[in-house]
Amino acid sequence: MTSDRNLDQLLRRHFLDRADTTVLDGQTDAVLHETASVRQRPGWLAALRSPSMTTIAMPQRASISRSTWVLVALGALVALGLMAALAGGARQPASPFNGRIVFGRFDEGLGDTVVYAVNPDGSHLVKLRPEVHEGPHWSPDGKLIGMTDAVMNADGSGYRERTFGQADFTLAAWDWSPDGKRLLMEGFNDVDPSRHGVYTVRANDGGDLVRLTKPGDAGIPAAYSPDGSKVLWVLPDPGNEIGQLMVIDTDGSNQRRLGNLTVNADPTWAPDGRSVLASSNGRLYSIDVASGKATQLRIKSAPEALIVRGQWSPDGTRILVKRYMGGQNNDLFSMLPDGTDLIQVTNNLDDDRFYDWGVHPLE
Amino acid sequence: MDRELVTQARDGDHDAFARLAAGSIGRLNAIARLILNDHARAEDAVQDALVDAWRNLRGLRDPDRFDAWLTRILVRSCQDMRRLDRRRRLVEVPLVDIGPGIGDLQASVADADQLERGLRRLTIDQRTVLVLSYYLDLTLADAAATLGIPLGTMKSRLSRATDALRASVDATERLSAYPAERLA
Repeated sequence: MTSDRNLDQLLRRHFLDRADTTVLDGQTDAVLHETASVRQRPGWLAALRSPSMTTIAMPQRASISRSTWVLVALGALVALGLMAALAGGARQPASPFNGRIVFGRFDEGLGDTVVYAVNPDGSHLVKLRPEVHEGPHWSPDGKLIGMTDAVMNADGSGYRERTFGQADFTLAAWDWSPDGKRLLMEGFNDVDPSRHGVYTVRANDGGDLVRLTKPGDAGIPAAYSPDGSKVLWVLPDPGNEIGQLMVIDTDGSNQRRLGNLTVNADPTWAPDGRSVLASSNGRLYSIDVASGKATQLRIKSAPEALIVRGQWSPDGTRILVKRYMGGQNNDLFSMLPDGTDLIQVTNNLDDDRFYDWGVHPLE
Repeated sequence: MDRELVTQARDGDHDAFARLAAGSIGRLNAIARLILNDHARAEDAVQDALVDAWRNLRGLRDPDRFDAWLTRILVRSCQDMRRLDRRRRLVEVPLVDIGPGIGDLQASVADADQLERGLRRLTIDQRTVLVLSYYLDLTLADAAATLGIPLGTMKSRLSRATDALRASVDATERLSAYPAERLA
């Protein structure tokens, strides 16, 4: 068929024939009922979440009027005051910390996350790319930032796609091995769910595909262990975004469950490889790899705060947490392991997620 | 699309938004159903898109771009359906059984069926680029903007999607030509 006819014309006709514009009974009412319960954000809040407000260190002044700046400045003062009160002492750091944080911020206009980088004290927030990406992660040497489908230099330059899958099989990169030679991948196929699992490939050319999890174990990869011998992943419960915390050797052997918590899908290793940070039901836990024992970590000034992810700094001195702030809003904070010295790293009304604290030098 | 209506809705007039939603929902349904190939998921995607649109309408700078802006939100919502499925590890959702097209006067029913089967085998991403290009008739640049990807990426995705569809259709053709007794 395709050799004899113009596929383009066939597709156009096919889509026109198949397009079903039927509106079901009650569908519009359901939408309006839902929207009526969702208030639009007031204008002053919209101004607060403008790019200029979220990049205090690098404002784009050209397109912002003087009156808007006054409004934004007033809003910033109010917001900072409110945040200090709500966070129970969140403050700017007295001294800089090592490394740099890359993260994805949900862009309401684009409908997905856009990659940003920020210093651990909240300064030098930079939007690295205009288009949407997921899963930003640092290369071991801190020179590159990988996303699920692309890679770029630490400043956003040198962007190039990283497409390793085949037409019917998608591979998404989530982490580099500590020696930088391999990538930890999630493989999935919309037609054949049995191919969904945890894989690794050679980093330089995407070759040597190795499947770590068994067919049927639709695992979600999380991270290589610091010594590169193991991989942390989550076996999600059917119908849920959470599941069992799993570890497996990089040759696919020695698969085992860590502890008995049901955790979110993005756990992380401690720099010494002896423990893992994972969140469960809004609580952050450090889980001992040898024993599986879980110890809850809290923000001392806000012990009931909901924490949906944690990651150690590269030097092991601090923990970066994703804290639920209400609505669709999650912000990043760092703290000492005992929960003190809380520092707000990002302050935005959108969802800041997919973060990775790498060794790239401070800017 | 009524520019004044968009402006009123952007200023917080929910009645104006209700009229916009009522006028758009059929078109959105068609797009989502073609992309997702599943009516229930398509309805969820349309509802999510319209709720997101109402929530973020203040951010729409040019009211004349409302339709394109809403389409972009819908496409993202459809892709979120795929991500939710992936994260939630759902089993493959049964595909809707669609009968032969009433306007398909030239292509045979068999050809239409092969094309439909080929489309079902594609990923949501692949179907999305095909729907944007061949149903909405967007230019490559507009389709790239809708997906938030570079133009070069859009070109390669479209090329891969059509290659995959062609391969899938050809495979179906070969299978249908295979003697039935050999398949038993």
